[in-house]
Amino acid sequence: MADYIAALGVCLEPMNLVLLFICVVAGIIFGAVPGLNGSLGISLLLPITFGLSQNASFSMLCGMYVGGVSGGFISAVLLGIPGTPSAIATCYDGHPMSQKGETSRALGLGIIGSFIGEVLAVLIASALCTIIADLALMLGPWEYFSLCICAISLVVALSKGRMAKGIMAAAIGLLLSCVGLDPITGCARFTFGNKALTGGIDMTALMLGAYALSQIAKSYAKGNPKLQAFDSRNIKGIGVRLKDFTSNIKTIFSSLMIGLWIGFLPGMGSALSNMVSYSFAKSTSKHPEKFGTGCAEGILASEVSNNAATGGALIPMIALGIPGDSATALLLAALTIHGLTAGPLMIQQHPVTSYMIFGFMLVGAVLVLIIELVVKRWFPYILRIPYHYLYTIILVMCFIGSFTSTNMGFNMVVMLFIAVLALLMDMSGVPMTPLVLAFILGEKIEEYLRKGMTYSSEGFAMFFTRPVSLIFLLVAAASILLPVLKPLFTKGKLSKEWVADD
Amino acid sequence: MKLKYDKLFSLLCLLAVVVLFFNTGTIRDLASNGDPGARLIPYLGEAVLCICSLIILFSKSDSTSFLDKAGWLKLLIMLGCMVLYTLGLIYLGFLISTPIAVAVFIYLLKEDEKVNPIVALLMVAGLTVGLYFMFTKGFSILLPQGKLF
Repeated sequence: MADYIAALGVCLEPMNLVLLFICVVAGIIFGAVPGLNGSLGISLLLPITFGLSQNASFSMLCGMYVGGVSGGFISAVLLGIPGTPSAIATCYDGHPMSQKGETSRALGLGIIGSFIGEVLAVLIASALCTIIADLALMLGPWEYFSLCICAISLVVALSKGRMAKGIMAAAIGLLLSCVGLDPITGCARFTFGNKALTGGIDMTALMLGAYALSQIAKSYAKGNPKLQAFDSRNIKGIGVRLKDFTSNIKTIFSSLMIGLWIGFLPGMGSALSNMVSYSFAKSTSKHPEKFGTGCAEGILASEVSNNAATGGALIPMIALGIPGDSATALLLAALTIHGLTAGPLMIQQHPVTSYMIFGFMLVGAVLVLIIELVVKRWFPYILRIPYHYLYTIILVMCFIGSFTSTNMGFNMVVMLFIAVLALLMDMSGVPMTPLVLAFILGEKIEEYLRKGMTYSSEGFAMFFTRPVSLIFLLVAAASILLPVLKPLFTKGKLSKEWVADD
Repeated sequence: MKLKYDKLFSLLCLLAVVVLFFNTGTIRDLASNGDPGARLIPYLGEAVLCICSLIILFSKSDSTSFLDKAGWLKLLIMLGCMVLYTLGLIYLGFLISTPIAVAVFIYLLKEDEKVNPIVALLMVAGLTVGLYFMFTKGFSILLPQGKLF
């Protein structure tokens, strides 16, 4: 508790508060503008943090993270276009409510729903994190290896119907992580005589190439979306009633839990949680017919869960060193840049820093609430920022970011290569997330596998004889095999029924 | 027969697997005491990539159209500009290449929208000078100097 209070004290230092405020505003803009998102904002901020202190860096990164997830509902409500994938379900009821002349209420529900989800999830996550980290300390390299494999399998399993493409992406990520010196013996791999590759593929270059350059190039080639103008005269006051929340406590609670759980699972961030939560709220509601027509329950379900997922994603990141989504993958990279290793020992060795991340998320959520309530009337202006200026700034920042990350011009070439690879994957329908996750976990997978085999005389068998490791491996196998096998059984059953009917 | 994007990507991956496979054989292996060595993970990755590529190559394609002809041209122009900016940063440095790149990117990305030339000029100057001072003076981080200077 003393560490938590000390961490909150750091978060409330004036300089950190100012940086947090600036990045929360930037995050809201990134979240609100379709085509941009918080992860992109974090990847642009990463190079800037090299020259800053740990506290200042995390105030900026967490501010961008919180603002980015929250801001997504703005264009969802005003235009019916989600600013980020995490606000897709918000469109279903937010926009119809706005069209009925209740824009202020829809925005108010989004703002307060986001706040409730974020604050409660971060509080729960900070309590759970210590327990999970203590449990994780009892695990050996065998369990960690299986856990990493399980994390990648769960993400691959999201590529339903095109499992081979998901696994292919993970294999590419694994091979990219092999570039450079091997983690145990220090042998050079896949450097092709290029000394610049000895240090491996830079995480910043990979993230900027995959998420920023390729997205901007694709968006330009497809034509930037033309957003319609919105009249701000309808937006007055807070707009929400206390009854909107008291009559939907069940939905708020279930969305919070769904968001936390989905955020906790690797790779399944707020983009999935808002859809699952919305569907759950609709299926359990007394008035499912009202969903899609502008009901408060639908907006709350989506906004509470997508913000709760950010809290959930922090648990595996800090307690296990495994990112819950792309944004936490970038936060993990930031921890590495600042000489910290996320994992069960982090809370023991750097308790204030660990809780500081939760603290910045909490203070950031409060700032988001205040800023959004105050500037609600001017939200339509955010959507009028011209893409040609926004994208130009982002492009220049990407090139500088990749250069400053390693202080080598070659890193920009690597970023371009990754951008082309991401475009090729996009046109082939190969998902990017398994590649990123496998790249991040690749080195750990190899380290744990080889350590596990060195520490025991039983070789590979040890991974299957230790119960926790076996459970993780079984979950991994089930997540890959079930989606492939299920249709075969269903098909067989269907054809039998068809024959019987015939 | 028109080759679908996913099949083409699979063929590229198979080609990469062949190159990487021969390269993996040249990795020095200093493994001892039960350590499977530095070649294990690369071989595993290559095997998985090869199998997945073959599955995609011989199964029904679900790849959809990506861009029209004009879109492809725009994509190539944008990528070309990015390559030129990279070369500019490496050889000419930040202060020379960035204003040119900012102007070109604004011109490209504006498409059919009208751009106020004064705002664009302010953007070119502001972004270059602002970023330069922010990184070099504010954070003490060096920006590309240019090999030619």
